[in-house]
Amino acid sequence: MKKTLAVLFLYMRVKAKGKYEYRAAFWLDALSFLFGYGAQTLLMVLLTQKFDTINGWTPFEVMLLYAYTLASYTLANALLSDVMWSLSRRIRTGDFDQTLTKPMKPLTYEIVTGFSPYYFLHFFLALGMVAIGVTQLHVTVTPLTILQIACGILGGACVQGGVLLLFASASFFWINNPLTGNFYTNIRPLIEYPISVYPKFFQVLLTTLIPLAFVSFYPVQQISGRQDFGLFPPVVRHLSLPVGIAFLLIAYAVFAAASKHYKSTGS
Amino acid sequence: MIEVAHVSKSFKIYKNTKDSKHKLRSLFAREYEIKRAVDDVSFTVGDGELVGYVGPNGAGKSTTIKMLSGILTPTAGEILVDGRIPYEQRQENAKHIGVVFGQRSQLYWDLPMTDTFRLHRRMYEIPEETYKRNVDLFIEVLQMGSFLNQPVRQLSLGQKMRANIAIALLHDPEIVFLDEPTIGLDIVAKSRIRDFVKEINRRKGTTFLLTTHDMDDIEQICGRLMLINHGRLGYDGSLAEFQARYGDPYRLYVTLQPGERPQHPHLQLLGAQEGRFTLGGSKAELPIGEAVSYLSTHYSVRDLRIEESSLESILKAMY
Repeated sequence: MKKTLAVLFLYMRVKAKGKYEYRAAFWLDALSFLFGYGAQTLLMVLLTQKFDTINGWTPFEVMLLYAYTLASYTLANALLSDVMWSLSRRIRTGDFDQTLTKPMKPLTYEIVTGFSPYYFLHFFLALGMVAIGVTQLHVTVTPLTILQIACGILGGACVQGGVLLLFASASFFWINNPLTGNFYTNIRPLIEYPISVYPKFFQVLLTTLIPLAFVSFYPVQQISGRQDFGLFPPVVRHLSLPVGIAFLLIAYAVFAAASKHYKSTGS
Repeated sequence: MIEVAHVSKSFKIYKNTKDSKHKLRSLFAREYEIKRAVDDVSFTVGDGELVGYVGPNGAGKSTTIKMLSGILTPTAGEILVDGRIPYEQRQENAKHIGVVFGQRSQLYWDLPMTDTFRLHRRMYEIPEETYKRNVDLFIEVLQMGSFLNQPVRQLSLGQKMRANIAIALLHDPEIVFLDEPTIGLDIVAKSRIRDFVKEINRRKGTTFLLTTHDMDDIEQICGRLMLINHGRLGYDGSLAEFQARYGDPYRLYVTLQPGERPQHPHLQLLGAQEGRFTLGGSKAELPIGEAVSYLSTHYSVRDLRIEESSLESILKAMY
């Protein structure tokens, strides 16, 4: 672990240096972040002003759903976005060979070399939204509340990370993997709204097989006090972290097994 | 030591077809065939050996290297690299081997290679003293001082290859696999890399297994040759023995006085043009020295050139 962190921090410094080599790209990246998330924040503010409730959820509760989803998304993507987006290409070109000749576990190496610290900018924006949501909902902030928020976001990060890892694993079987790229980006918005608006079948799916409901829908209710669990018992609002960790471990096992199917390419 | 025992590697290849009906059917049920890239190969490489591993395109060279380095798992057979099973103990094996794929780079594109060196040092936990000693050695032998701090994207192919080889050796691996390391390089760059490999082998006793299509690489670096074709090992022995066994034929290009025509029962006339003759012979039947002596004695030789079978011509005939 010590070695992994040392390599990770050095990679971050080296990659940052690489970014500074191309000044125009650096500033454009910064501007696109400002515009992109500025627009999303504005949209969220407008939503809270335009709608009274969504299936009984108040605008600031919906804002918390968005903020939890974004915060956990950024944590997961800081580590795994490159794995999901680039693994298919690296397998197709045979560049994954290099990963397998390094003295690190393949996934560790992919995470370290693909680590993207810029997602932390998005993370702080999300935390800001959490703070606004909590304040507007008049939640009493205690050490327990902070711990619950942290566990909720961390658990959500584990779930989203697990989904990214499962999608990436398919690259070892489907060289041109359709599950990467925009696929996850398109399904993620589903959990930015209360899942109780969806049919029961979908709520069960998002609680069991692909536990995305534990990213925001259940952990937010731990803070807001809302009681909207559908078919499931109230205890689900406390289970984000254990469910997230379990799901991530399953996803890792799938990745490790799938990587044994790697066939490389010709020379 | 590398021990390879009855190793085979097969791949399932989907059958491609131009027939549009079959293409449509393949969306639902695909047909495939099994391709045996490596077929029952066995060999042992001792510590400190310099081994050339040659064969035509698609022979199974790179597949073999990938199994030895742990990238691929054999379909059958066993491999041990210094007592380790490379595809099962991949992380541990990686600490003791170096791999250079001639057509792929390990360098960080936008930054000087010193940054990649530093990353490798941290990843392989190379002690400071070893790191410094190796970097100094590589700069000296590979003459990298002039471009050490340039961004990699600005380096020539030869410079990048030298840097890639240096990185593969930074952690003092006992065994190095070089997969076509001189591909696309000019003769000066090739010469530098060959000298470097021999120097590292001499200084550190590093074992090198080299795949290449450049026969000069083999002749200048390797003492031992392994030939693979259609996945099967055709030859495994010393380079000298290979040339003696298969390098029997030779040619003599001789220019004689007008009116003369060379004849010998063991020399075949392959071509004649205005007093210039091409003669083919076999060392087993008539050694080159005797052939030259015969021609000099019986004819007025104005010019003579001897062409022995080169490694390239022997291999070309075998492929």
